Amino acid sequence: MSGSDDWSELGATWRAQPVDLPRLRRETHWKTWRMRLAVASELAASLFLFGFMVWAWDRPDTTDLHRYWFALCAVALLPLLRLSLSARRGLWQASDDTVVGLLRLRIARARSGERLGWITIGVTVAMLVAASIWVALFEHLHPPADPAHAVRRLWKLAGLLLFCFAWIGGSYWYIRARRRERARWEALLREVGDS
Amino acid sequence: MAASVPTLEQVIAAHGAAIARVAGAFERNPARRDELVQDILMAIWQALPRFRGEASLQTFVLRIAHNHAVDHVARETRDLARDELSPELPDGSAGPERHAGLRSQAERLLDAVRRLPLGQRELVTLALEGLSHQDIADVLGISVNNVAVRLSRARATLKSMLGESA
Repeated sequence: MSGSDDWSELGATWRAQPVDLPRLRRETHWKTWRMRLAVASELAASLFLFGFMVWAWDRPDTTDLHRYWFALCAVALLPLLRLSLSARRGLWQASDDTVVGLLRLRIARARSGERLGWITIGVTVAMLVAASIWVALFEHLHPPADPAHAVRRLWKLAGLLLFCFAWIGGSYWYIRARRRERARWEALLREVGDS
Repeated sequence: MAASVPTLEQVIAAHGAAIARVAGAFERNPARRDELVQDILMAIWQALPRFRGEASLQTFVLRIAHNHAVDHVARETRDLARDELSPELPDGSAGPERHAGLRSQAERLLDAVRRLPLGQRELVTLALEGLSHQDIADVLGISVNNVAVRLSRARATLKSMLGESA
């Protein structure tokens, strides 16, 4: 038997694998129905929230602070809803792109995540340095008369430092995770793509 | 002229089995394989409005299926070789005699395909589905020459694996 006959036979064996199509159809029908229901519920909840804000705006017990919140929510509602619907429609990833295209997209995302992590660390360190200089200058120009006051300020500074170091640590962990993820995608791209 | 957009029902009827086979080649565990099939079908459902008929529906569907399969493999941290679950076929709705015959041949083939490295597995599953070199290149985003070279290597590996397990 020739190589091509052999391959045709393998193809026929492969395609003869039994698949339960009615079950597949049922499960998919159920899942698409659930997804539609979820989107409809989200739209209904947003409309209800908007209606409630319009109704509550002119009520006598509504304060200005409430109105600020209502305005903020109303402004944020539309973009958030759009974002949620876009995410549901899968626009964040081009799933019908080629496999290599998808892998490159994943690598670019991981790399941009790493960059974001480094920017976060840089901004935190810069803010920490600026705050330290400001505190030192302030202490120098206005030395506190009460020593207890100076101690309290030191405690506050220590708390801030702790928070900043934890934040930097978290950002670094995030960078490492994105780096590992990028390495994984790059290995796959080497395996799948044109070398 | 743009091709009319098929419904998900039509996609399942025409290519549902191919999607299940692709999922079976990349996931051994039956529950996770079902999830993968559903993920692929949901992605196809979302992508169908963008289908313009530039490539065949089969190429379009298999491209999405393979994208999800590669994503799935990349996210899996466990070692497939140590998976304790049985290497079942996608499902068994055929009669018992025919099913038994198919199992022995198809199981060996499926097992060999699963043992191929990812790059080769993609090429082989697409070629076994009957796609041309050009269509495989369109799905993967690599050159036709590269498809020919790699596929010939992958076929040789697959044959030697099947020879070992015979």
